Amino acid sequence: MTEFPWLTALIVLPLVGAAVVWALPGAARRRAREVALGFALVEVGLLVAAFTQFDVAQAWRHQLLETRPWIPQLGVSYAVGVDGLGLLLIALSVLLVPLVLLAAWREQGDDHGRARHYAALILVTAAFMVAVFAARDVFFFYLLFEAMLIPVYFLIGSFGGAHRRYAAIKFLLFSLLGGLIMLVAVIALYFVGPGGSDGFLVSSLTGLDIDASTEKWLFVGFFIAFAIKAPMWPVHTWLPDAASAAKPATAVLLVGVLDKVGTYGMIRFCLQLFPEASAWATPVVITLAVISILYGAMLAIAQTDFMRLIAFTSVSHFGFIVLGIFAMTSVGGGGAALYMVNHGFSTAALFLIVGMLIYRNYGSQQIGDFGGWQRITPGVAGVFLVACLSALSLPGLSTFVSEFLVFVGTYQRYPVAALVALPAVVLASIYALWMYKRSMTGPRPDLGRFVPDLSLREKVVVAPLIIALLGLGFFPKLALDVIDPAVQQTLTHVDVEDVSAPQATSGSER
Amino acid sequence: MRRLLKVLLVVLVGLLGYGVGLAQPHVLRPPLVPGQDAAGDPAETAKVVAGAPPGFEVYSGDDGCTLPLLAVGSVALGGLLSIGGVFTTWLEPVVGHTEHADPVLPIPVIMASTLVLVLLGAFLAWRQYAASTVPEVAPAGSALTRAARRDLYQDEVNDAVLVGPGAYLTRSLVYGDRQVVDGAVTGVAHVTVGIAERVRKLQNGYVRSYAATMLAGAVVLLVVVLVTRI
Repeated sequence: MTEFPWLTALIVLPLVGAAVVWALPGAARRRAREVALGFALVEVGLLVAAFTQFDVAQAWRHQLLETRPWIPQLGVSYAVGVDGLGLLLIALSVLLVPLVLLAAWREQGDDHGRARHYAALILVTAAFMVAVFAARDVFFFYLLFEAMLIPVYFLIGSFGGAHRRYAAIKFLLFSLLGGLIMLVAVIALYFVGPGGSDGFLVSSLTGLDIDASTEKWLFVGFFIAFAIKAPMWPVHTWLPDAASAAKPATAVLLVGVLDKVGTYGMIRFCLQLFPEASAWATPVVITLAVISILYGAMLAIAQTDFMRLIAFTSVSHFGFIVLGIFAMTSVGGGGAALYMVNHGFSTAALFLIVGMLIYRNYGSQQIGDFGGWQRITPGVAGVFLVACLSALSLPGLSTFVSEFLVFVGTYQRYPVAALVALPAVVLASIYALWMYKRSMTGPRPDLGRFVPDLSLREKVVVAPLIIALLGLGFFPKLALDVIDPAVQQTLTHVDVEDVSAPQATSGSER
Repeated sequence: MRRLLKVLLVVLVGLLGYGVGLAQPHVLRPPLVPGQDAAGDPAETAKVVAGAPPGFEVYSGDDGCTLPLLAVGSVALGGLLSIGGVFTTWLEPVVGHTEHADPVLPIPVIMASTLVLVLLGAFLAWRQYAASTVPEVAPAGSALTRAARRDLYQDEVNDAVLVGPGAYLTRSLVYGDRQVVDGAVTGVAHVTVGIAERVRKLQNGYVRSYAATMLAGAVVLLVVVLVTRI
């Protein structure tokens, strides 16, 4: 390879950073968080440099490719590469890591040992997040799919709040069950494909002529794993427990990035490798997606815990993403892909700002323990309002664009599904505004102590998120130009009679 | 004095209608008939009356600035736009050009009937509000009046149809989520633990039990091998 291995560097750098943080000598351990933050910022710089090497005009094509044989006897290669969608998801992960580290600065208090472990685990998670979105080998993807559970398990189980061990085990068991089923499908896929020492490469496995029933079984195997990850109803119950037990910073990475692996897998593997089976399964998947949308929204309304509420809103939003993907239109697929990016920023803003509130109220996550806080911390209330409005997809914020595209794209092929899912817009307004109302509005509470408003550190954490929400809300073209070609390329693999074929060309002339 | 001011208010609003009519002789416009009461906004007054405790002075408005505002805002605007006939064309960038319709009635009839209606409305307003005394207690009114005071019962309807059942539905779903959906998972966990507890009892630590199970296993293996070979 004459070129610089950008993706390998992006994967290895956080691992090196984690190793450095763990290996810090005694005196320097107090500075573990600064070291970790430094590595995270260098990673951001590396990402920007990698972006310049990416040809946006050819965003449909996988670029920055690196392929090396790894375990030829098993057909496993080390293969990484990104198209537009993968690059944006990697960008989301890499941009969130320094924000998460900054937000979690005070979480461990003065316990420098724990803070060191926490920062190192975040960096390990970051490495796996980049790798999983860049993987171009199915087995390598599976390895990362399982491996990324490990640091998150420790992040929830060791550093979380109440019921952290129960939540961590539950999260692990749910994901491992999905992974086990997917492992069977992965192995079977090798034998269905051309085989050989690079038999697991996605490029070798695309466009195969698989026997119909085999393809359906393979699709189901992959889909169950991704549905548990996403999460979709009815396998969603691990998420509220994990999100409420985890610290807000961990929850950001868990919900904002790791869950995207599920929906990313649906696009990259289910649609691309098993197109006919995807088309066959679409009615069931669309039904489950619509149920997720409404169910998640309705349960979010009835929650009394901030973190559980946000977790259920994510269940609802992921229903939208799956709906957009399986509508199999370029508008819907583009909307779903954009939704992944926007939801990452929106959920990050929600969790981090709620984390700031929780920190100010002795760790209480109950909405009822707040009330009238906009008179105490107006800055926090202000950014919290913007975050809540992004959760309900207010026009002008980025989430509106993606939700609208998903609705339009779904309506083109499945108008009934789109119409049944439409009340979710109203339900989203209810849960978002009611959450804000219960905690922020009302008479000024008599706390008997001074509560500081946003500090400089917290402003630095929140500002990029608000800028992203507003920027992509007014200029979604920035992201859509990169995503749309990639989505359309994936949809060419799907042999569904494209009802939106004429609209695809007009849609791309945005 | 206040009552006089109220009457003047009505007349001024009427004059706006007249002013507009004066500036626009070729376009048929509905005459601006003054409202039913003197404050210009019946809904607001009804709300105030409904919410007013006994003895509350209903006429404690800010008449002082209402008049100048009205004067500046509406009468002056009408007068301003009548200069040079701008009134006909000033909204055209937004609504487009329309041809003038021929007046249905002759112009003097329109002007005269407008003024007559203005005076009639003023008289009615004076008779309804200025001439009679203000009741101490808000009158009971008709069913419609009572409905109007309670926003046509929309809050009650919303609560009964949407809010109450919605809250019940969402809480039931939370219960169902925990008991049924999550219950299936925790049920599997409990069953697994139960089976493990029972199977664990095989490991009782006695060598004789292990020897017995090994013997049983060897017998089963022998039988299987013999059967499959035959």
